[in-house]
Amino acid sequence: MNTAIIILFNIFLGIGVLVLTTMSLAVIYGFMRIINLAHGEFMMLGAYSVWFSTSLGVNIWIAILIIAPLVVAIIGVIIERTIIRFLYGRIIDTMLATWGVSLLLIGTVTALFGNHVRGLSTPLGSFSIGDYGVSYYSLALVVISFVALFGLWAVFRFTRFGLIVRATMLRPEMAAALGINRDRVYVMTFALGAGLAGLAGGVIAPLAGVFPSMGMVYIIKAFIAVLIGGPAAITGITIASSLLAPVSVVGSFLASSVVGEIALLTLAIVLIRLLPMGITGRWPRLSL
Amino acid sequence: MMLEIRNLTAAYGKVPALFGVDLDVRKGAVHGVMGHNGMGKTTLLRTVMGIMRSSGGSIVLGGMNVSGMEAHQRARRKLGYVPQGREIFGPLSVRENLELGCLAERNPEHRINEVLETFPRLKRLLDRRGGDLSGGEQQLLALARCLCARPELVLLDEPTEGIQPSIRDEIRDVLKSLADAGLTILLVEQNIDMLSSLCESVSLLERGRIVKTVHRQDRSPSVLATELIDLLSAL
Ligand SMILES: Nc1ncnc2c1ncn2[C@@H]1O[C@H](COP(=O)(O)OP(=O)(O)O)[C@@H](O)[C@H]1O
Ligand SMILES: [Mg+2]
Repeated sequence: MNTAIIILFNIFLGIGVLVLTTMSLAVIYGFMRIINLAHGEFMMLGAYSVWFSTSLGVNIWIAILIIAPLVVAIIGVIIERTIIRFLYGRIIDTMLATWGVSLLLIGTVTALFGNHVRGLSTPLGSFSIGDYGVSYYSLALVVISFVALFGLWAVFRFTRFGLIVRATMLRPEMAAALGINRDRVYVMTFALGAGLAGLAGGVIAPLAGVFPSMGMVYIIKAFIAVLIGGPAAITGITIASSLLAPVSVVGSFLASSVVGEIALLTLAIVLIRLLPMGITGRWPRLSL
Repeated sequence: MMLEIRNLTAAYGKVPALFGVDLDVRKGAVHGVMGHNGMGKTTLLRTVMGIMRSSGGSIVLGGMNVSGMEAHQRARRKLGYVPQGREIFGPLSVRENLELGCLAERNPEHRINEVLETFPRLKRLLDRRGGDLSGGEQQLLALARCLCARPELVLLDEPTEGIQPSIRDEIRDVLKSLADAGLTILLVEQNIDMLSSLCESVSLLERGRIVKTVHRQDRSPSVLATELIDLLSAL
């Protein structure tokens, strides 16, 4: 019984982590069609923002929920204005450029803070279910992930900003002819995506440790989830995460975490074979 | 004049498409542009809208030179665009498509209802996805979306292309009533009946140049139609 509860909880945790680390790509790749190879480094910057600001005495929740997304969103604005905006519609060039950004960010952070793992104490403590210890923080992570996911969906479903972004990504020229300033929409959307990566990095920091190359762990799975999700990116990553995470958790439980990873990748390959356009492949792009 | 175009040139990369267009549209007039496929009609409208950069010449809109402005700035100066192919936002609902025409409105809901008085057919379709509408319905939607922004000059690119005759008549009637209400329209059209029944003057665009302009003066639509047909077949 306790084991079942733990497995169930780990499944939710797995879905939460996957959703959290993929939302940024749902915006930057799913909506804007930019392959951001610096995704993991955006997360890493969020994590460092938390580590750095808490070391200055800032409350950890403020650091995670406000400072990390804000710092990375601002960095996103700078990167969009100086690099990305010259490369819209040129997929290979953007990949190379963002790869360069990723190396630059790792290098800069290593030079500034050194190449070792900074630990953060996990807030909130823990409780036990039978023989298993569960941290309240991982519970909080699940809640934060789902609230952020719902919030993202709601922004695009209900707000004027969301409507303008979707229209601009669908038909930039028509949007401009309706009075929309395309450049501004692009920079704001990229900043939103970057901010989500910052949030993800900040939330994960206390669990994963903070180090320059920490983002690499997440980027592959995040791209897998967004590709399997397909053109309706937000719904897509939700369904994809809900399929992939349980397989990985159950695999880890039955055998080992390596087996869990293999199970996840196997399922991913099967899904891509069966549904090459993604789970939401029949939906129009940018539907919700 | 609502619109004065002088010696306007535009090119796709190095391939020129407009070779010095001169065109005047009087305030309150419907001015037609006809010409065979590939002559540059769409390019002309895209360049006037600012979606495409001009390579030379000038565009003066309501007395202001807008040649250096971006499309969204021209839109805010009350220039409206209904493109060829309609460019409906397919995954968005009809209501959301209309809201995008109301971005400068204080009360979009109210403005949408106002505009829909002219488009009763769209009222029942508000919650449908734009992409699910028929071609004719999409054309009405594109026109309604444009009107939501209260344009003073509307650029209209082949509004009846590939549209079933019943809706074509509806579109013509809507345009007629808008023209009677004083809206200025630059109408690109290949359908002679549309041109002769709506336009005060019609220009013929030929390989990126205006080669002739016919004014209605006191001619009846059928006389004007015959003249336009003669003009086209003389090419
Ligand atoms: N996107 C484009 N790239 C290159 N050439 C184009 C493009 N669009 C149109 N053209 C060329 O410009 C010329 C004018 O096209 P267009 O303005 O669409 O004509 P029309 O609307 O009168 O049919 C044609 O020769 C066409 O081949
Ligand atoms: Mg055309």
